[in-house]
Amino acid sequence: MVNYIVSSLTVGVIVGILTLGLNVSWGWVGQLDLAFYGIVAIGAYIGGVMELPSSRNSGGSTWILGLSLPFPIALIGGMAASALAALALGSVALRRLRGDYFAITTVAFALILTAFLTQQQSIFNGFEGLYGLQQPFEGVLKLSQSNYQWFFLGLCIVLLGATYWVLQLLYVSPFGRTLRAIREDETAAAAFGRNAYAQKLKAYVVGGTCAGMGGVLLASYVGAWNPSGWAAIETFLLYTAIFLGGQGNSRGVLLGTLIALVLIPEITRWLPEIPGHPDLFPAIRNMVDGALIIGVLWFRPRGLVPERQPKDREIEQREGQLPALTTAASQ
Amino acid sequence: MLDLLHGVGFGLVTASILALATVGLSLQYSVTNVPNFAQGELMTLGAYGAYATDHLLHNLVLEAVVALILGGAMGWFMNHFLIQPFSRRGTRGITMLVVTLGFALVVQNSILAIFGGSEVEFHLPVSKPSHVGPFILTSRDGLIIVSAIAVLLGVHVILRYTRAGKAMRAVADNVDLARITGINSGRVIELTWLAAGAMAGFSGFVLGVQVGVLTPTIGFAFLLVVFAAAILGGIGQVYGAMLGALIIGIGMEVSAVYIPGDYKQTVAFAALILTLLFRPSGIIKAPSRHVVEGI
Amino acid sequence: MMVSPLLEVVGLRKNFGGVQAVDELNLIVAPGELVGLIGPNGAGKSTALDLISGFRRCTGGTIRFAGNEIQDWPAYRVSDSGLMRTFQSPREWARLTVMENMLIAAKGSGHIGALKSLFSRREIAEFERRGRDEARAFLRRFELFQVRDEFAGNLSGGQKRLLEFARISMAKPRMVLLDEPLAGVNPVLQEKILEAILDLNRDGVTVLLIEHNLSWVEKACARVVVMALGRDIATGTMGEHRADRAVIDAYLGEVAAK
Repeated sequence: MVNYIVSSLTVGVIVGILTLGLNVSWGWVGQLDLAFYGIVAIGAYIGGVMELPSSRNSGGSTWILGLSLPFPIALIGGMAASALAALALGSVALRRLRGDYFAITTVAFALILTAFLTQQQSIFNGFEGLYGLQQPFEGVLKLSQSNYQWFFLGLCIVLLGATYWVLQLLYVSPFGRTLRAIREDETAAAAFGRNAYAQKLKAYVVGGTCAGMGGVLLASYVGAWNPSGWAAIETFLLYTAIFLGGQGNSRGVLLGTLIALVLIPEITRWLPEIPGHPDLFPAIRNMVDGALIIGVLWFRPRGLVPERQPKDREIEQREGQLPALTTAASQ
Repeated sequence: MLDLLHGVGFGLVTASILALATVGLSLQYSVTNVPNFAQGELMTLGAYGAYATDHLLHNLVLEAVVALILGGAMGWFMNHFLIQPFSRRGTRGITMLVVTLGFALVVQNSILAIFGGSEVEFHLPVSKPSHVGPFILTSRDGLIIVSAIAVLLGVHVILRYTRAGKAMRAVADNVDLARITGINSGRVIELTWLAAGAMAGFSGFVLGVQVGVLTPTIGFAFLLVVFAAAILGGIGQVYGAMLGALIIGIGMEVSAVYIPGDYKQTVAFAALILTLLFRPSGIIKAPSRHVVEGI
Repeated sequence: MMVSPLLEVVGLRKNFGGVQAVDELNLIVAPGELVGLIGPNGAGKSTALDLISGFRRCTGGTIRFAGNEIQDWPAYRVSDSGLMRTFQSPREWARLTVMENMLIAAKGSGHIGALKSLFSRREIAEFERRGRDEARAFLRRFELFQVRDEFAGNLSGGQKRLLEFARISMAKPRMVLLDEPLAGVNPVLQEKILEAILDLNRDGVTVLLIEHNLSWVEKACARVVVMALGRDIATGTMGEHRADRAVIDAYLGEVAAK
């Protein structure tokens, strides 16, 4: 039972990293990115082939690279690959600067990527994908299986914390503010020197880097990675978490992840399986997600935890310029 | 050379199916301004509806009618219970797109829940392929092309010569102006969703007939190709949609002559990306409104 | 002209699918001037402003600002080089606070990217602090200090207009193009806006503004350019224009056409 909870939490934490990354595109910039899971996949694949030994001895499977590198380097490699993929896709998809065209282009990209990688055996072993991925630091630590899962959970929590911290910093920075201005009114932003295309592209790359991190972690956790694990629908499920929790808001996004992507799947998992209809409960789960999105957008479009910025009044007090008493008196 | 011509022949069939779906999408977008990501599911609905009907009665016409009705009804339903309420709230653009995506999820998975995820065969009796000019076509292919032409002709006639059609064009052009001249824009929008839904349902049926195998994701997979055709032809331009469908349909099949068939869709997506890069307004440009160009 | 002009427009043309909205417009503004741009409806004033500020691409002609040829520049580049503009209706960033609206306008804040935000945090904090101090001063001047933590979208119409001026003052441009700053504004606010514009000009900002309220323009602007049918037809004081046959015809033409 404990193992099960640890396992669920671990996946939840990794997915949390992914939703934080996706939120950069949606909550900060206001773009609907449907290729996100494709970028996650690229990170997972590259991290995987950096970590795996050469495919020559694998008995039939083929993949590129195969460098047998340690986990930390593979992690960075995966993140860099995802960032580059985001840069390439973003530079094309963001050109037109129109929301629905961006969404369409990203879906097209995701589908092309799936078709290509499934077809081309030689790159990432096609349909079967990569397998036999080592668990991070396993050789070094030599822990028992039940202890190792705690370590891995801890590792993921640390990485989630780091991601959260960095993204928060960016959000309150002038860069984050620029993105929000572009989101609110691109024309006015252009009137104040903001190059919407360049800034959106930067944000997209930031999100892509998070995608890479999550991808490598996910692949390491499962030990394998193949095209069936990253269908277009997965991206949409991440959006459920973002809408539920509150767009643009890191804390809200994590709350949304907990509810929509941890609790709900777990609850539906305990429902008995009906023989002959193996697809029924996944289907119901997805329907609930779809209905949830519509429901959230109707009843609470801002999400459960709305966006909040520190008030200048508070910052003034903090800097000791205006004593609290005077501020109250000047109301 | 012969292969090429055969490819063109197959392309005509694909283009016909594509045209039905694309014209529906473009018409709906031009009138309502809502990018409908649930369009694919309306197609799937039509296909499965026809399939279910086929189990009861082997009647092609009945199946087609069922597909039309299901698609039209669902289109109307979407508009009445989803689009209008959200639209009255001020929801527009990307958020509305997300709403349609959520609905797509619900519809697709409902079909999955009812029919299961595995492929179901949808066979129609078909004649042996015969040579029609330089092309190789079966009777089924011929039916598809003919029905598509009939529907498109019908759309053309309606838009050009009937009151409803002219009202649609007026609303598509400038909804405020249309309202002022006494057109009931709400009614026009309802009608458009109905018509576009019916076309989607019918195109799903035709797609299912041609592919021969149905899965719950069949519509969604096709949707992207539909978008490619719509954007290539000029989003919101009904005649552009026909042109875009023709180009992409033939392009896809001809490309299969030279590169592995699994990449057919990739060809469509490549066309989409190239269009967005070099001529985002599509082949047939919409009359320019006051677009801010300099950003 | 003894001093080289800050803004120089030569032979500017813009064609909208058959309609020649701007037709060989020539215009010069010297540094420090406060120039008005008037003319009957449809003369092409707003279009000209959009062309100069980079929000529309011209079909011909040259625009020179501070020595650079800018007619092919996108809008963000033009504004970044110090030639900024306002819009006919205020365009505040609605879900950002008034203070944040000001901070975005702060000169140089647009050049702080993600990497700098992460690795030069102390420098950025210092920059932000100075920005906030300056912003508070401007907000006090425009009587917006009390609402500085409000979402800009919740302000009244008059407050939004004042925010436009506060924002653009904060940005310290070399020159501003004001697009009908008085449109739909009550007389009391009109006085305040006149003050704000004169202050801006006194601080060294060159101003070119479009307005229909001719008596107000006379109070504010030393020199006025008259546009009709897409080109400039006269430049001088309002007094001179009142006696000018061509100007009278242009306006009367508009009246007759109605």
